[in-house]
Amino acid sequence: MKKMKKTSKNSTKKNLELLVLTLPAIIAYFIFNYIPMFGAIIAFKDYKAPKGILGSAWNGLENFKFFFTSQDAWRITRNTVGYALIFIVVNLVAGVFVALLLYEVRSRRALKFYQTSMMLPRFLSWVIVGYITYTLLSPTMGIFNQVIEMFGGQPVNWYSEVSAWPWILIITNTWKVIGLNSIMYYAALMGIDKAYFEAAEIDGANRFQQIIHISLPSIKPLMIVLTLLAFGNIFRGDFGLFYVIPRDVGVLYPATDIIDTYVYRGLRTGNLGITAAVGLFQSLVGFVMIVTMNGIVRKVEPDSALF
Amino acid sequence: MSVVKKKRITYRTWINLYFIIMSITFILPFLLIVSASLTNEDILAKEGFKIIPPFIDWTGYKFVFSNVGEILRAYAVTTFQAFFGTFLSVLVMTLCAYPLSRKDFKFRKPITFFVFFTMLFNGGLIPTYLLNYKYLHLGNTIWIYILPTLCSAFYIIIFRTFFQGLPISLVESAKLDGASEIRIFFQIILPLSKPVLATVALLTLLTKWNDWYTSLIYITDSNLYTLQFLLKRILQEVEFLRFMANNTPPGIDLSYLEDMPVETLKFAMCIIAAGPMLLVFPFFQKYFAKGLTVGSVKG
Amino acid sequence: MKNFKKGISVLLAVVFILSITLMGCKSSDTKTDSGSKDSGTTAKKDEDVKVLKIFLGGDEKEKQEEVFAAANEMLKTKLPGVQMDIEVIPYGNWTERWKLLTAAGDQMDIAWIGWMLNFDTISREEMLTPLEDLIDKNCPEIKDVIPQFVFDKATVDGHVYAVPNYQQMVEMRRGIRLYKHLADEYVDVAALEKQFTKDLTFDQDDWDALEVYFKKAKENGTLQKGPSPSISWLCRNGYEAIANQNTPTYVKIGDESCTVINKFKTPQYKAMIHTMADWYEKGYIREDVLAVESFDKPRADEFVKDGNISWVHETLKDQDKKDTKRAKDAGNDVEITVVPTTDFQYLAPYGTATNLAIPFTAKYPDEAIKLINLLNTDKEFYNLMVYGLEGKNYEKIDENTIKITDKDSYGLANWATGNTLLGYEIEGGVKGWSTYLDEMHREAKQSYLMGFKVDTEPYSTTLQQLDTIIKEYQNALEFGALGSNVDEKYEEFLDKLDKAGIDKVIEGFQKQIDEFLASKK
Repeated sequence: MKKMKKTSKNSTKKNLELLVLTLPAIIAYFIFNYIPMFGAIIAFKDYKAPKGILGSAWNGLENFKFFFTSQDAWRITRNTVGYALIFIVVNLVAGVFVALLLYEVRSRRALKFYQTSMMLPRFLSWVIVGYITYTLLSPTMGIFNQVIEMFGGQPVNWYSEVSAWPWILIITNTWKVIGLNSIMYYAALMGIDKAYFEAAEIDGANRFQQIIHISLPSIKPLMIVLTLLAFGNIFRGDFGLFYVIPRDVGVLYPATDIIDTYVYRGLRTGNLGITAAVGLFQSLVGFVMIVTMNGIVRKVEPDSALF
Repeated sequence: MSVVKKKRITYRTWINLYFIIMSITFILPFLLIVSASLTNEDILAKEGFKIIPPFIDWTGYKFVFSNVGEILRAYAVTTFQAFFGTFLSVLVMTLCAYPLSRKDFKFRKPITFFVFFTMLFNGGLIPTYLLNYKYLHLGNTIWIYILPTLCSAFYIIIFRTFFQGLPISLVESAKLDGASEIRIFFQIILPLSKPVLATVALLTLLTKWNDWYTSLIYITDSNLYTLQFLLKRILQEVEFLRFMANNTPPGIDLSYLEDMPVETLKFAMCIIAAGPMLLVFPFFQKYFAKGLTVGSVKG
Repeated sequence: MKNFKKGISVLLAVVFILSITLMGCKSSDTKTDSGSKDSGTTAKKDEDVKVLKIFLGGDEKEKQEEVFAAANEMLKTKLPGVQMDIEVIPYGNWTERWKLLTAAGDQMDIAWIGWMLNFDTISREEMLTPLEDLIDKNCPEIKDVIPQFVFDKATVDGHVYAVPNYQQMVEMRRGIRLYKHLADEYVDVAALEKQFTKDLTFDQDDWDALEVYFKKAKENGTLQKGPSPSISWLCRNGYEAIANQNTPTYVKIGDESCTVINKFKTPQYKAMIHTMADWYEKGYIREDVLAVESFDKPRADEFVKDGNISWVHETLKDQDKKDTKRAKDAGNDVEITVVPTTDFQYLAPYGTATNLAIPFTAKYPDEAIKLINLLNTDKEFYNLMVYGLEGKNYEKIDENTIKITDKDSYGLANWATGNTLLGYEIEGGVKGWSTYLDEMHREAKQSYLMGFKVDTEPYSTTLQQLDTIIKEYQNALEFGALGSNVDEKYEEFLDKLDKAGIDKVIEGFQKQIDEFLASKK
């Protein structure tokens, strides 16, 4: 009896202490995130500044019509989701691959050098990256075309070749985020107890087997979490990538136009109600996706589920 | 033995070769940017990017620094909000992530959901602005850079994942010794999480350092502009003047615009903004290097 | 671990102290935030003094507080009881700031409304105060200086919502630039002008007449980069854009019934794209025109050495001389001759790119309109606001001409601040420019729809879709690069426009126009 009482007292104390630790974050979230969330009702209103948020008239689902009844709804959705899925897969594979390889590098100096160089793109804004891609792809003076000509080929007008752009965008995006991705996985790899590797080596496992059986499983939780979180943004795209890099060239829209760029172009007048509606819709879809995927993860790998 | 050694060497050589090639794809563009920032405007327009500029032309940089006081102030503001903001952020986030990593925490599920929900849903620009500016009066103060973005659900979940990976035995043994949760947090969890702390701190720092949007929305006092915002302003000014020159309004003498470094300015600005961060990076990088692993776990 | 903690704390402490120190060193010249009171820009604590919050467009300059203080001094005699608190917002930030300022309901007595804000929309959303009554009550004399059509341009649904800054407002009177020495040899310039101006539109026979210039140039090896893509604009002659330059609909100039038509279906558009395609095949247009010209600098080769030998732009007084000078400055030593293609200037009904308005959050609208009046009628005040202080920012050369000596410490764009015709002339500029502009505007032809603004809101989705389609096809069609494939693509393009609902838009606009015309009677 006494023992049980002690345990429950301890557990209350423990829970209270832990709760206190989370308080600063909870308060911050409540004030800065949850209170403004009420403003999301703009999505259902015909918002006019002089009337304010509360004073503006309700207009139901009118704002959502802009997106759904547009001729391009299918195309931009397909592009947005398509790229999002491809990025999830590519980022995962590339990030893990590079992290694993990095882990093999012995020289501390070399490691520093490689990691620093991989992080360089992070310092460049999409606008600057846009200059770099333009230097490569410019039809007249671009480096790609110069090389092609050197080999006797016909220069390509990249900015009207729609089919080239999925590749261009995927490669550019990977180039920009690989540093970040791989460093995250690398940090996870660093948490592995060296003893495991030593034991495995003694048992005769080669490096490859060690990677498969030790490294990978250790970073599995992180892989799952990052992928899961990425699903939350499946209806969103990186505006900078899709707007700046293709230079908003109309001809390329079939391959480069996503929800975010479409809305931006259409709403330069700033109809806030519609912008809010689209944003809300994007969030909703992402939410449903994560909850669904999380449910699946919970069945297969319960420890890694988000909640 | 020697055959195995040889195999080891080739395999390592391949890896290093791979990385060297990869590094070139990152460094080369960056070098081009540096070079472009030091190239004369006209030459850049005519001949495009080169690795080495024909001669070093500091015009872009001189132009940005022409008002030194302004730039230094912006550096100061940015430094303070980025570093202090990161420090506070990481502190609050890890404090929150630790309990969430404990499976025996009663409120684990609801709080995780509470945090995660904000990742997807937010009120949007106007409601957030009204709250921060009108009701909390954070506009035109340094705190606007730090408080609203104190927590990122993404990073909290990352921290949680890492903390979950630490052996529960550590916590249990500390508890047996009578340690409070907060002591466990500071004395056991944090020290073992240096890699992830460094990673998130670095990423947060980078984001805050590059922030210009907050200045755009909330700041009208030029003493509180961030570096990136100030640089963008300068660029806008110059680009606009360039635009005006091409559409010459009648009767205005715009010959002074011929010396204006528009393109080189963009690149100089990029380097000026990125520069300090590059210097900071090695400091964090040492936490990514191998050797700082969990040696003390056993026993 | 201890070292780590220590290191971090030391670093943070150093950084902290450094930044606080630097932040603390405020130089006395920097702009203070709009909330704080600074003796330069704001009034004494008098109850009677009304402080207007003013938002102008431009760049923040170092010494602007000084100039604003001087302006406030001047107000004590010109507009007693009124003082200004001015914030200058860079053009690139206006869209965001406007959204936020209006959302928060902050006091704004005067705001500059530029091209980045949709004037029609914000008027209809009641973000701006109607001005007709305010003007009649407080400053009717402004109508003596600013002509009626200027107010028409800011009229939406019967109310005047802003005072546009009077500057050059006519539509582009297109003039074809030719290299004089080539033109004199290859064509009869006077005859060309007669040909072009004989009717309102630019048709196939006009293109044929122009072609001779390029044909001969090619034969003689003087083609250089041929015609600039701006040549394609000639198809717009004789038409007026409805509802504004971004919508795909036109009305024919001089058509009293104001029938709305699809801009891309006009015979002139057809003629233009066929000509361009034909010229492309003949080699007058450079092969890579689509590649180079479509981006940042589509007209980069105008004026420059070895660049285009022909392009199109506006035609104003002394245009030949101006363009020749500009070419010379660009290193191209040729004389340019400009052949006008219409012999009149035209005023369209849509809004202008720069206006001063009184937002709905104004606290002192009567005083605000009086201040706007000053900026439009008072030479002394206007020039102080635009150019700054005599002796410091500029030197006076004679009564009406100045030379700018210090542009870095102060300067606002004359077209963003008020009536540009009040401005001093700049040394080296064209003499008598203001008088010329005024005359030109009063003589210009006006649209039948003056004072009317089409409401595009109900069609915004369709318009957006049309815009996407247009962006996909426009350059290819208009730069000639399609060559013999032009017909196919053209049909495709028109078809897509139809499918997207362009006819609904035309119907809708027509209805509004018919209503307006009926009400005018």
